[in-house]
Amino acid sequence: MEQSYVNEVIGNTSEFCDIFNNYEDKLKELGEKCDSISKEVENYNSSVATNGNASEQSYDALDDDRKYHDENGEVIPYGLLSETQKRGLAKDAMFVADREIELKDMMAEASYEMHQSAHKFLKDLQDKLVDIRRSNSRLSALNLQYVADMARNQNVIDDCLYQATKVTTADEKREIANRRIQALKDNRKTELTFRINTALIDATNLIQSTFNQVIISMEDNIKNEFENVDTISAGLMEDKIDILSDLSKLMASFTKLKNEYQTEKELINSINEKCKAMKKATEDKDIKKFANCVMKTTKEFSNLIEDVQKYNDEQKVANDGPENNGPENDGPENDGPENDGPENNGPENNGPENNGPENDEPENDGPENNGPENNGPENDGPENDGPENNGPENNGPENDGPENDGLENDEPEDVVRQNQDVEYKVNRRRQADAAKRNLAMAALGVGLVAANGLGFGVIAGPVLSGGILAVAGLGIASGGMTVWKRAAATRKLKSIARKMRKEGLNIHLGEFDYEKGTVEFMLRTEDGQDIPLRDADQDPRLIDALQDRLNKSFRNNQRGLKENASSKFEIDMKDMPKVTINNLEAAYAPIGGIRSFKDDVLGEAFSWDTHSSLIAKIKDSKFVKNLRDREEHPVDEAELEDIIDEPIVVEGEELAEEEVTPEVEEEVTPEVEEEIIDEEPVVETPEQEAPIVETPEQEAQVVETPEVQNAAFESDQEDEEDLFAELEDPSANMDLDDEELAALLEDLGNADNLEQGADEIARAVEEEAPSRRL
Amino acid sequence: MIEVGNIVTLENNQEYLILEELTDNEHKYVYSVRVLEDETPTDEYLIFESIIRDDDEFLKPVNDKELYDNLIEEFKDIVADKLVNGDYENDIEDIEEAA
Repeated sequence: MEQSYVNEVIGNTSEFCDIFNNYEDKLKELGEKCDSISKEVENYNSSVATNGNASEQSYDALDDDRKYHDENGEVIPYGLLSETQKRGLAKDAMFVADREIELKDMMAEASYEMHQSAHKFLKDLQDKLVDIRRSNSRLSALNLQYVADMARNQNVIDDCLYQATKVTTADEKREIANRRIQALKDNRKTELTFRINTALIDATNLIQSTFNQVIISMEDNIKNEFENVDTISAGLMEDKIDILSDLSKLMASFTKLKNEYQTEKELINSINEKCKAMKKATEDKDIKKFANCVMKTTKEFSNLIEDVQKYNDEQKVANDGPENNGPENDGPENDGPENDGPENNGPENNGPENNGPENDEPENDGPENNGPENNGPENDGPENDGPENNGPENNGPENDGPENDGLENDEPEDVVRQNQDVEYKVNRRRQADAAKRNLAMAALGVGLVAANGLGFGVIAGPVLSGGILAVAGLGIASGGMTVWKRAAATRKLKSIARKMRKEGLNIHLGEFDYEKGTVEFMLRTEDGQDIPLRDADQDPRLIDALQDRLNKSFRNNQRGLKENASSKFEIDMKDMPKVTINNLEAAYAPIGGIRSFKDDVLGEAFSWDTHSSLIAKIKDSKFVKNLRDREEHPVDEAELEDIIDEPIVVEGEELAEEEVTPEVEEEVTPEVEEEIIDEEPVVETPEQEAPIVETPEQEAQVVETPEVQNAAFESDQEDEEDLFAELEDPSANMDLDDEELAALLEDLGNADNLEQGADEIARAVEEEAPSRRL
Repeated sequence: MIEVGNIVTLENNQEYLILEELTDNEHKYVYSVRVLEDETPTDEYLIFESIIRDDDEFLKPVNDKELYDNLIEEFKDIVADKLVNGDYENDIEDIEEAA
């Protein structure tokens, strides 16, 4: 499927080149025709020169005083000539006229053919250009799908970390590790394809621009010559213009057309060569070769298009000058005597006629325009006024479209439903229940943000600092909203980068820096490298444009950020929400907000159904039940204080050791249970938090819950850290072969004990989102 | 006139809750979710074009993929804006309380 899109893009580009190259045959044919006419004119002229007396005399006799000059120089009045002499003279005159008409006819025909073929040539190129654009758009759409796929996979990757904190057995951990590795591999593969496709899209965009320039340039430069067909025809009718003048114009037109073609030919052939190379790489299924071809092409065409634009600008300046100054109009066409006349300097070259054909060019009538024109008015146009049901419109071709079958006929829904573009009448409306509406609204927010792969806990926000672009966190701090807001801010930044790319500024959003809590704009260089914008050799206009967009998007003026441009807004990771029984979502915050999963498969958190089922699932979990159970049995404070005064530390340690696994928790003795209950308020009440954090014993106690487990992952496990760091690092080589995978799994399996294995995975969670610490 | 927060009953008896709206090229589009009889939102989200004709209102699903993709991007931007601005803060708090 994807390959077919790539092939389509390359195929259309190749076909464009083919159309261009095929025109060479036509030019050759036209050239031969012009040469042939030239020879005919030459022959005719020499014939007139050799046998011209009779003709010339005929003309003298007929045109001047209607007198005949005989060979002896005598002048005989026409009326005194014999009938035979008169017929001879008439025949000579007729011959001259016929032959000239014949030659002019040939020239007009050749000129017309030249006009038509050039017109068709440019139109074919234009049509193919549209095809290229369409196929490129399809490839872009496919790429968007890849982005969504990667986002989904990222969800899986993140969720595996969370799930790993929930399991205890080696098999379960292995299975989770496997799933995660597979998702990482999938993502890497998808990302590679995505990047190559992006490069191909970029390359094709550049090629499109080049093609477009070629078409515009050829149009601009030969359009004046198209006028000659009219001039020649007019001359033929008026019989005033010298045949040599016509011939000169015909040849000049052809020369110009041919020169234009030759100028662009090298460029087109260069593109063609690259297309062939890309095509071959895809046929050979050599993705590396293909990627190289694409990258190289992108780079080369990026340079090339600059050259072309520069050349065109120069040409434009050069062309604009002569029209005003005159002397350049005395170019090659004016060398001949025929050009001394007003025709060459006159309105043909710079007069208003030149504007005519531009507007009539077929590009404007191209297929792109046909679509919307037909679809638009049909919906809200006169068809709805009633009479068209009886009138001719229903029989006409316009009414074949689906839009006409709908509501114009007052027939009920049966008819309506046959149509895909159905309009449903709103029979009733009412205000939604506020609570339900809130749920849907929130789900919308979560869905739109998280479902688009933005729920990675990414944090971003832009400010300029001292003229150098630095991107830091947008000051967001409010409980459970944090992640969603951050995701939304990131989305805004991505959106800005996307819009800037549309304007030709190759800006991307970089990787999130967890340590600094920032994300930066990156400038993609010609060779595909991403350089932080602040380190890049920036064009001040780029910075200004970016700053404008940032200001606009984030309304920095209102927020007073612009005035305070030197400020750097760091993300405060401490604002991450605390996980409590009433804020279960917070547990998911570090790994991307609310998720949904059915049958253990993560899906897009797009609906409240899945959202609520997730919450329900959490609520049913052992942890929450246990927590709630304790909450429902409040602890006597005095008793608790007493316990704290006691050397509870030792007991806590012992307890923690025993309670590392849930099984142990279930088997705990009544005395131990009591102790757990006693500790419960410690988790819930802030006053108790501080002393707990300070005492290692309490940390150990907290291990019993998934959230609190994180606190226990401080111990050093360098090997495992490296292992997960590698998994976390998107730049790391994820092309794990079976052996590597086996080794990885063995590492996991060889953990000293189950707790260690759980620790190593949970630490990865911890590293990814340090703020999860309670 | 349909507004955000309305539940509309269409002629096919399906009900949709209007979540967001935007105007593009003089066409009004609404982002909606189908709701059950008790107004519980489902996971069927749709973008409709809102058309007013002869004082009647019609909703026409957007079937053009390109248009749909463009619109969904616009809606996402609107939602992102609102999230950043804290417009959904109360909604989210309600959810958290409900949870």
